[in-house]
Amino acid sequence: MSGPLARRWRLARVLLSVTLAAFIEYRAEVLIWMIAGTLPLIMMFIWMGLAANGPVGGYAAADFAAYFLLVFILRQFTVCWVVQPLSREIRLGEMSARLMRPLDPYWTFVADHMVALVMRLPIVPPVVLLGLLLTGAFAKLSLAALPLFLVAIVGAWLIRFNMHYSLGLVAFWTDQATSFEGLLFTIYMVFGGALFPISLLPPTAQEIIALTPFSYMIGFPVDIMLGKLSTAEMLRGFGMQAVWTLAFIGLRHLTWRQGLKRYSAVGA
Amino acid sequence: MRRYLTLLRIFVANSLQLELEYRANLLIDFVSSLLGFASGLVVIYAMFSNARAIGGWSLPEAIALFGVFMIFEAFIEVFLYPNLGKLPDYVRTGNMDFMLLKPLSSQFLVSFRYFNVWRAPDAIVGSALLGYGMLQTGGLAPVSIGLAAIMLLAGAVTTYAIWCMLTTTAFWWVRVSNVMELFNAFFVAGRFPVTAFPTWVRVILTFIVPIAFITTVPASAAVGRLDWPMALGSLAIAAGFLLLSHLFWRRAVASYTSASS
Repeated sequence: MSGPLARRWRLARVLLSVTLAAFIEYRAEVLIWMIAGTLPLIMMFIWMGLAANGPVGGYAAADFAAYFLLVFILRQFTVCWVVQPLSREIRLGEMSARLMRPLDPYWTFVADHMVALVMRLPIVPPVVLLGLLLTGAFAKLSLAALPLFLVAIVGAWLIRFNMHYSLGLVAFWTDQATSFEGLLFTIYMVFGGALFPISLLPPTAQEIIALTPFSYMIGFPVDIMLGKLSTAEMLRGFGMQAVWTLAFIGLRHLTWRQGLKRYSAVGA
Repeated sequence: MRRYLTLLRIFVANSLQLELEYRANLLIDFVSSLLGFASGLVVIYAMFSNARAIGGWSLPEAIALFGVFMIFEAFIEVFLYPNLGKLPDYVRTGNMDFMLLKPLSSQFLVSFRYFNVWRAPDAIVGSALLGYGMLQTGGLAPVSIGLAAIMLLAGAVTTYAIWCMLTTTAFWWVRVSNVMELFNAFFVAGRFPVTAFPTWVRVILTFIVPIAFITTVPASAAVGRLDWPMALGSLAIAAGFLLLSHLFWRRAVASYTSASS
């Protein structure tokens, strides 16, 4: 391996092993966050109950089961809490220590989140599989779409993480970054389709929501796995995912550079 | 008792003073309340545009229930997060020492020191929804208002007691700064009537984590659906959980060894 590549590989390994050690220390907290994400399952029970006497808006009970179990996967594997630690470190000046390291702090936070995903791997898929079998919803999945579903999850993660990272960086200007996170979360849950499938809304509302980044963070990947999308719709969806990913990566770079100028001006 | 009431007044005034330093919060919290309210109504709209009832509850009844849910969300944000939410950190850092040194009930001090007043508007919006639901069903009879108020109070006591017991576990487990989120895992079910869930979930929400008594019962009282076993059960659970939380607290404090080496 050549020099820079070997260095990068070594960095990634060190970073991941350090964060893994930290996570094992806090494993109870990680487990609690995992359990606390029950909302999609609650919504699943409610919608299944509503569809017990016949389909609701084209969804039978098993369709709702499949839909919300997939939403659960999306919520668990795009989990993102970067706003809190990032804005706190900027506010309290702890960012200075990180800036001394020969690595963009971005990657430390990415490593944190990657480890959280790895720790969910042995738990979430078996739970979802069990749920699919118990509700008889397994047949509703389009298994051939699995590779595309995984790609769409990566896209969803990239949009979500870069969006939240940019929001956390707002702490360079104001100490309200964390309050905005609550607002963003409410919109994300509704527009993303975590509370009900967006296809239950009037067509105009659906079209407007399809322009926002939120539907590509939950609803779009879920619809792929349910086999609801035509090739054209899928291409358009992946295109939108790419556009929003690039937009938020760009925003992140911009806020980071402008923020750092400010940070050095203020001094820590 | 008089002393505790006086202290409570001072704590509220002091929290207000503290919060007034962060006035920008007011606007964001207001928009936040509005959005939470809107998203709740959108969900109810999506459901009732496709069905006539949820678990046997009509549209105005479901709106009243969502109002109760918002009132409890406000209760949690105003009272529980700013106080009990900090307990795991007090234990981890050893700041718990200062709580124990004061000539007061330590449970009182840890539970009622700070108030996040900006989240109180949620309770007003919630009450308005509850009132609307009542107007559309049985009307605003003094009896239903009184009953609903008593059931809300019982629900608040139960919620407090569960939070208190959850956060008290920090005395033994230390690294559980987010343990109260376990309550949320069940509480999110409280925006829907407990009858809308499959039987096994209903059993959990009634007898194991009594969310049914926290939101469904007060809303039932408001819209005239309350039956006596549930009403009495709610009072019994509130009293029982409160006592349990106090006993649990005393055991925990007795085993506290501070954080210094």
